[in-house]
Amino acid sequence: MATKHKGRAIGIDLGTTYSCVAAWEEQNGRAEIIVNDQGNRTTPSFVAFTDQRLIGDAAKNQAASNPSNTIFDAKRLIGRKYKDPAIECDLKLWPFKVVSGADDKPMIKVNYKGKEKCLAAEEISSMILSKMKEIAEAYLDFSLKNAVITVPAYFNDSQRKATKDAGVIAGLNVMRIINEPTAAALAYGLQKRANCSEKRNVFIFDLGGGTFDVSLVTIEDGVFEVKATAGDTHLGGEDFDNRMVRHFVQEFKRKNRVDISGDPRALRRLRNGCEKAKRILSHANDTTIEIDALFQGIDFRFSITRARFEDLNRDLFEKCMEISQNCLDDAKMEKREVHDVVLVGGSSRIPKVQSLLEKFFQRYNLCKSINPDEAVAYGAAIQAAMLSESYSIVPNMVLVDVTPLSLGIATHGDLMGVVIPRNTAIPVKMDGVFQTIEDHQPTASFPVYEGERTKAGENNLLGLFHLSGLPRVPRGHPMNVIFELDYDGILKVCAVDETTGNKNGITITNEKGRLSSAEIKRMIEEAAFFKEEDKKFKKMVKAKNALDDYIYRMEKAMKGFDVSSKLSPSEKETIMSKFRKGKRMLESEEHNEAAVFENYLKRLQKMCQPIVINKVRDYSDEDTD
Amino acid sequence: FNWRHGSEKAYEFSTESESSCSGSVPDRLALGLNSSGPLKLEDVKNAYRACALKWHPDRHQGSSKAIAEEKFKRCSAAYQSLCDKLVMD
Repeated sequence: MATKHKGRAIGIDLGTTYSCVAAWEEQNGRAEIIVNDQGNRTTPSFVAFTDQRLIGDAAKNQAASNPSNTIFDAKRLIGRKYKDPAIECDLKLWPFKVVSGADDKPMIKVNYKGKEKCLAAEEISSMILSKMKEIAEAYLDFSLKNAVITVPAYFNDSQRKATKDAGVIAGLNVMRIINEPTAAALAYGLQKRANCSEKRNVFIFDLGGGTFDVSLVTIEDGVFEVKATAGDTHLGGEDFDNRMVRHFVQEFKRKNRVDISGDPRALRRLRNGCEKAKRILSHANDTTIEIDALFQGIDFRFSITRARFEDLNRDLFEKCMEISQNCLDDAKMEKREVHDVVLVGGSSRIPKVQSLLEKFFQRYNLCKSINPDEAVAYGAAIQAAMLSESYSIVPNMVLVDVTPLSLGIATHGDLMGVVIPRNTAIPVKMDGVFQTIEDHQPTASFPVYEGERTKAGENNLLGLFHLSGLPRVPRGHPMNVIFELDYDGILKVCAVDETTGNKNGITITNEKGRLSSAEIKRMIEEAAFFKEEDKKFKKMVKAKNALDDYIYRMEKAMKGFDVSSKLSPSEKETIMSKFRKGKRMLESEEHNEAAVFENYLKRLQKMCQPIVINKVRDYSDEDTD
Repeated sequence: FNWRHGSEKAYEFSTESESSCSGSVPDRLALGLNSSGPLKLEDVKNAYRACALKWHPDRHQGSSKAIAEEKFKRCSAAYQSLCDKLVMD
């Protein structure tokens, strides 16, 4: 990619529970959050399958009536293995079915139009991304291709690449994958520090729906330098909801001696209630969750206090503070050196989280003045504008991000030999010298890992390559290994035997578990199929409405005496029976082709043609009276 | 290949990266600093920020992008090694 990207660009915050899209507005010198078709500034990251496909608000609204086909939390699955211990617990809680596919890739089973379909997490995410794209296109009034998508800073290589794949399936040109807290820092810099010239050490605390990230960013002279980042890719609002759900399932069992944990519909309704209660508890001290006839006709009515909620999640909140401390340690910065603590993500509104953070930093002025739900998309839009050539007025800023996880090679005894330590500024090129451990060793293999564990096998394997043709020399023969990481997170590793000049290496792009280009192609076709089906469905609804409308109007007109005088009773009866047949057609589920309804409408129109001219006039006269 | 010998992880790890003590002057020059004389941490940081604004690949397009990327990598490495050194002193 030698040139800047042509065409306007958007920033998308693809969240676990909610997503948000923003675009740079040149004339105002700021980014604009784009509202969706429901008038909401964030869109639920939900996709549902019925006789049609629903995305966003529409999908979430029907979740309780269709729990097994309403997919959410795809971000928790993306780029992970089915056996990943992090999702083991989720698998039990999700009302939809997840099975293990090829290469232990988790596949989501849905029922679409009566047929079973297996979808990868990338496909679900791509549907959400294409929805966000549509929202932006409707608002901006032109078609878009370029986007910057955000991911949690602590996402690993496979999760990032899977997110990028999702963008490709959605028909987007993903200009860059950037870290959520870094994006928030950009938003903060632009909104709060117009010139960004004075030095500020900013601590970004991003507790979202599914993930938790912290970053320490130094802003000076328009340079945003990420000093350190830390996080947990499985800690967020959803986990707090889960704790509440578990608590209430037990309470309900204790009180009514029934177990609702096997009923997905009841669990979904309870979960929705808990999410609402959690939000209320951020400003009230207690609240009551009431759900009529939750299970076997028994009403659910329990109250919960803020203290109880905090108690249920105490360990999770404390974990956030631990991670914050790790981040400061990595940045080699004292708490008092931090100028601003910026809260991002919906869950950062929880009073307990704020008070713990205040205690942690020994200060009472957390920065709450940027919108925690929108800051990430806002920042992504700024970065998108900076990477696109279509904007002439963009902020004079530059972002220097870091790699969140150490990169290295497994050495003798499965030890992790780190070449690029975590929190190194990217792009970067670093090298390390490795030695053979056997006499006359002809070949050396280089398994490339990512992660913080000392035991390489416990880290994430990115790829493997060999260097052969080593000279017949005793052990201890040196080989130089060069790691190159570009700003897109693409890693090139190459090993050189300095004595012979032999060289071999890999570009890590397509490791196991990632979608192959053939699969991506198939998914793009599938996405087009879904889009076509959505269009068909829309067309059918439109045709149905048109027919319904016509029958209604004509029936009303037939009742007018003027028409009766022009038609014989038998003629009238024929027409009326045709109308009845039309109504039956509309009510039955048998037909789902728009053409059936359109043709019937045409037939009716033809039949009524001789009398229609008068009638319509009469009808409209009536109307204007 | 002789796979018996070419087994996995058949080597040892010795040094983490290039020794930084050799490259103080080139590091200084990479950041546009004086090649000798006293050096303050603040100067190094300022120089690095100036380099970032000038050479970060995001701020370049066309053929200069690749050159900028190389330059920026060099600046980052120099910045890292100079900072490490100044902190240790």
